[in-house]
Amino acid sequence: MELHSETIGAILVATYGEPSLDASNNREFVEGFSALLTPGARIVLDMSHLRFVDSSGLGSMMLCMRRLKGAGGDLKLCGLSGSVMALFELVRMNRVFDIYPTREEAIRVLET
Amino acid sequence: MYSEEELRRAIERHARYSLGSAWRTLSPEDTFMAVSLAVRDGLIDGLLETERRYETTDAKRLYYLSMEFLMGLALRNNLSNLGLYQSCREAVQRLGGDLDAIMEPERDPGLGNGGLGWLVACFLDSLATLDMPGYGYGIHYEYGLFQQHIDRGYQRETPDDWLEYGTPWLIARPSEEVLIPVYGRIDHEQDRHGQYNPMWVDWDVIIGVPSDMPIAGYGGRTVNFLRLYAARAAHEFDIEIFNTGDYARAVEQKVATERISKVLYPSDATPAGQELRLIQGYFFVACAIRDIVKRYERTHTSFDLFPDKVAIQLNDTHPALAVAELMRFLVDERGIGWETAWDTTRRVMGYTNHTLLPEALEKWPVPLLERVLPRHLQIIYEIDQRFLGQICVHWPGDEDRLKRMPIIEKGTPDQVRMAHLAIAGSHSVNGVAELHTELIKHYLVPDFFELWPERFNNKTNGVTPRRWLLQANPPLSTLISRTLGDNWLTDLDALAAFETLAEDSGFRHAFETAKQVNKTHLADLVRETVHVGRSRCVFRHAGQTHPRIQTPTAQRHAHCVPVSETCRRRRYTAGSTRFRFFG
Repeated sequence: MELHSETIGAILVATYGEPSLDASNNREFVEGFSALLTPGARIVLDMSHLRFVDSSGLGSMMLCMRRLKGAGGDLKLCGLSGSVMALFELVRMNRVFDIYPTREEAIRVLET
Repeated sequence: MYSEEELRRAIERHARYSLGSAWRTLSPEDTFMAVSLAVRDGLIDGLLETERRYETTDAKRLYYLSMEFLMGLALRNNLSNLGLYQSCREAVQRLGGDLDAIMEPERDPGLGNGGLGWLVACFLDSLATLDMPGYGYGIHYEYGLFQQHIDRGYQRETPDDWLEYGTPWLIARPSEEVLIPVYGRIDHEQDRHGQYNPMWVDWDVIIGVPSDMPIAGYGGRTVNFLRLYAARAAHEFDIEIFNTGDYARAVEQKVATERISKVLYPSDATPAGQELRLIQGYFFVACAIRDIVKRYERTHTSFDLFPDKVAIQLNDTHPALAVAELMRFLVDERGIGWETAWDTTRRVMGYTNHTLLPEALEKWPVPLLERVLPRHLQIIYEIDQRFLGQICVHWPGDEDRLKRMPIIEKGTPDQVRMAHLAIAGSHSVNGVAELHTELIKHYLVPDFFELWPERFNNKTNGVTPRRWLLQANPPLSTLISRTLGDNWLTDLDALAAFETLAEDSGFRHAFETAKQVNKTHLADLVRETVHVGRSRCVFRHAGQTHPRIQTPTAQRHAHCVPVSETCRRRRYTAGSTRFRFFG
């Protein structure tokens, strides 16, 4: 499971490098993301490599967001492909996450 | 359209480059394939040109959602509609073949069962002939209903493997696959603005992979399509389980998912069969709605014009979940308010009722829907709640109607009446014959007719004379065209000119001869297939009947009874084996 991270100013940008997030790798994703958590962290999660996500993958993203918010942090998603965005909309998760087309826009919103 | 020479070159090209063989070495199945692929080239040209025309004019499109489509043999039909019949016959002759023999291996697509499927196939043919943007949406069944064999007087059923040699008529569109969730539960959460946000979680995903069957209108100006979805699993197998050696369990999910498009009308005698039927109905309407919306959104940025550009016809109650699915899409995925979404849905949907038999009007147990489609059940409850409010306003204090009319029928367990959902969610409800429609209004759902009389109307169904006379009956159609010209192929009223020939002895003789040729042909066919001689055959039409209902099928049955009675008496006196032909 690939989850690269870099710091841009005060923002942590994590890039998920896998084409799928499902029952086969969602635990590793949660572990990888949890390792990035610090109190009050502001994180942009770039999912532009993701092509397929199932309900366990979406569940793991929900879990990560709740943990981050519980630690006083904030999360923005970016780079969702059409099919992944369609699934977010289908199960109304687009109303829970803040989603932006590009990482630049997500960073700009987090910085303000 | 293609000349004889162009067709011949196309046939040879497909033999070589699509099938990897020289024309003269092809098997009968591959010969059929090479000729069909050459004809398919013409269909694809027409398909692309037709789509360009519709896009230019932003035409309103009709989508016909049906559990079955009985399309019939396509090569003869496509040659006829594209005007290529004679040039193809000549092209094949030049190659040393015989077109009639080449057509022999074609398998009837196992996509339908009976009258409902035949009629929708004819609708698609007629829509294309009338240059209208009309499309079919259904399931890409791997197996049809069953193959019938007669063994010592009894029917034996074997799988109808209609795709055994592949089919040239389906164009795979894997890049247009759609993801369809099923099962799961609802998490009653709040969104980031603190509003109630029912989230559908823990679902399984089915991938719907479309294939298109081009539908050419007579004259070839318009080629529409029938889009069929096959169910595919998200993963071929679970590699971790596979590596433990439990190979069956490793592919369990794949097998379960692909069962959805495995067979037409699986038995619903068991709870598992009932669940599969429900998922089949949901699967294809969910795929269809996603596809319809995607096409609409290519050229529109809001849903204000959706009812002006899209019409969805529900062929019986099987696709009635489309009402809940479109509502779910508009409310959940596009954030449109309930009232606007309901108005849009109702203006888009139309419902065709085919049967008055209570046992054929689908009902789904609420616990099953809750498990399989939890979000849709929530939406159906909301539709029902608002509908109950309407009943109370229209008939204050009428407890009987409050029991008869709701979408959710109280019982053990509660059940969802799909016909009520379809009627409530449609702007138009039609029967398929004058009498049938009157019975819908006054016998089947009189309360709904009283509430919304403007919604009910009749559309007498019928078959296209191109398939059912021109192609099915060459001796008679040749006689008609020779006598009256070809106008009747697109204007059946032209056949009224026959009345002037009623006393013409020459014509009557030719008519009788055409009928006799067909009877002889049928008797020969029966002898070849079930080894019964002409003197032992009893020809009988039959259909469903019901003591309180006179449908067109029942009328046909009643009409034929005297004939079959006569035949039966003859049969008994002759002491022959009993054979009946049901149609």
